Amino acid sequence: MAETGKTILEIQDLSKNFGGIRAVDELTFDVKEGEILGLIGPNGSGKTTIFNLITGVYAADSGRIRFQTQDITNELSYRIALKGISRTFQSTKVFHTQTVLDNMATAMIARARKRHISVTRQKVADVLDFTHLGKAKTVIAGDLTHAEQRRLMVAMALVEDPDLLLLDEITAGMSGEECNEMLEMAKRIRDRGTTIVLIEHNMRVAMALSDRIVVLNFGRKIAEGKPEEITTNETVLEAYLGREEA
Amino acid sequence: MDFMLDLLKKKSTYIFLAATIFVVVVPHFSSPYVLRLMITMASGIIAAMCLNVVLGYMGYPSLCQNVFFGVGAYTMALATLRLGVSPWTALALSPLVTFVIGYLAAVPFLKLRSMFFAIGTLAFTGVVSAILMNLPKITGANAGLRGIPRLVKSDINFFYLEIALILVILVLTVLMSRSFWGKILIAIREDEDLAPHFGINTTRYKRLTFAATSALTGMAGAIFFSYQTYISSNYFTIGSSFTALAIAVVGGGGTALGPIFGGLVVVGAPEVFRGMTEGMTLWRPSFVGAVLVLVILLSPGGVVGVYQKLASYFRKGGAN
Repeated sequence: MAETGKTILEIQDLSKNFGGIRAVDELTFDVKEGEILGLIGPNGSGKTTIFNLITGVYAADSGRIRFQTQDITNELSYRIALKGISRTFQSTKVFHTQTVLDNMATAMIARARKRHISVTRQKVADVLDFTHLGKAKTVIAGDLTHAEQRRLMVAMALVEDPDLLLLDEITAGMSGEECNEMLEMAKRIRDRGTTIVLIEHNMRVAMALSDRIVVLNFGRKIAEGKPEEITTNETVLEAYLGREEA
Repeated sequence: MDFMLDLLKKKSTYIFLAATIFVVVVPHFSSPYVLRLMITMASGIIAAMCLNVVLGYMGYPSLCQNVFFGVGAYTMALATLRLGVSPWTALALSPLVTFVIGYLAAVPFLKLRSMFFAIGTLAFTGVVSAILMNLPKITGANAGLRGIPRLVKSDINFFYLEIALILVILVLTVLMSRSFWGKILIAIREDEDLAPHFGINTTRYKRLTFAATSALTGMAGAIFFSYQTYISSNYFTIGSSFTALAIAVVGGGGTALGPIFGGLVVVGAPEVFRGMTEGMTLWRPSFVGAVLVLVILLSPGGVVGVYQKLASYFRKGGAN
């Protein structure tokens, strides 16, 4: 994807402690408009905590988060969503007793009111077709398969055309084929021009999707660069595979 | 004309007509005792309908519904007796005062979830109950306040007044459930942590819903104690706070009509057992409890749930 070079999200010296554990440690990185940035790192390296800090689930202990021209550090979650940041979750989160259509309506209701956009059926239908849920409109979300629920979660995040989309392990718990389908979907989202930050456990997925990758370990950034640079980076290999003791 | 014909074909039209005839005609032929029971039932139904929005749509099991019933009631009593305003002015004041108290209560209590919210609101009832009991100069405490002026003269008109409020709440509930507001409440009930990520200001909608339903409950309290002309702190104990919850749960949470059926069962059941011989009166609460437990065990969807099950059973021609 062509990078315009314009920064859409700026993370500066961000830190977060949980008790004695430093989950995010003076982290700094940028996200450019139109790119896919991959956040990778071993378990417990602070990836999801970063999403939770960006979307206001947790308050940061120190540091700054800027989105477009505004400082959104420690802003309330709903205000951040209204500014145009959407996210999905590692564990599937949808409104289980509601139909797919009702889930979509709930997803856009507040943002549509804020931006004075009329909720069009066509728009919802387009996004559902885009996520291969067109035939499941009237199905109760709880009755969908795991993969379908995860696609619904993406559809709900996409329906308001976010400026920035945070995808937290979209392929979690999926079979190989479902994984490929999700990967293909993420590429199509990128082709729509949506800026994406994605967290990935699956290295194959991360490498295939990302324009740029930030590698984390113990809440610190240990490497940053293009996928091919990351795969050969010594520090990264050490973090993932461990150091060979002399 | 087609519209009229469609209406004639619908079963709900006849149910509505039957209900209207019942509500309009029956009070004229009822004994004062039955009429009193119906008025009590109606006020319980109103409190439960309001609670139903908070519990059934929003998912918050509130145990302080009778506090708001009481705030409305004391607004009526104190405004008329101490400030000398007319009962209708007091009736207009009661939802305003209750809205404010409801909003103030919502700020701390709606930060709690599920059973912690239930315990918090139960404690709130206890605190308010203690305040009412310990401010005899203002509230009259146990001895109560007498001579609250009546809004309307006849008991039947009090009943109609309550029915009017029930209809208003019913219409508001249906409109709310079909609007964005209903969708937002359901989103809060389903996953309150997820909703904000779609830009929903959950705190705001929770507080406004809680305060608005409190206000309508307060109006019911004002009407009921104007009918009764007497109020005492004994009406607002911790125990009484469960009545509205029982009505809402027995009726079937999250349905607009549920509390109406729930009120008939919960307030009506004790009366059925009232005819029991003297020696059995001690057992009366146990029978009432047994009826409630049976309804809840047999149908988690409440009375409305039982009806829906029966309806689908007969639709299938009794098969299966």
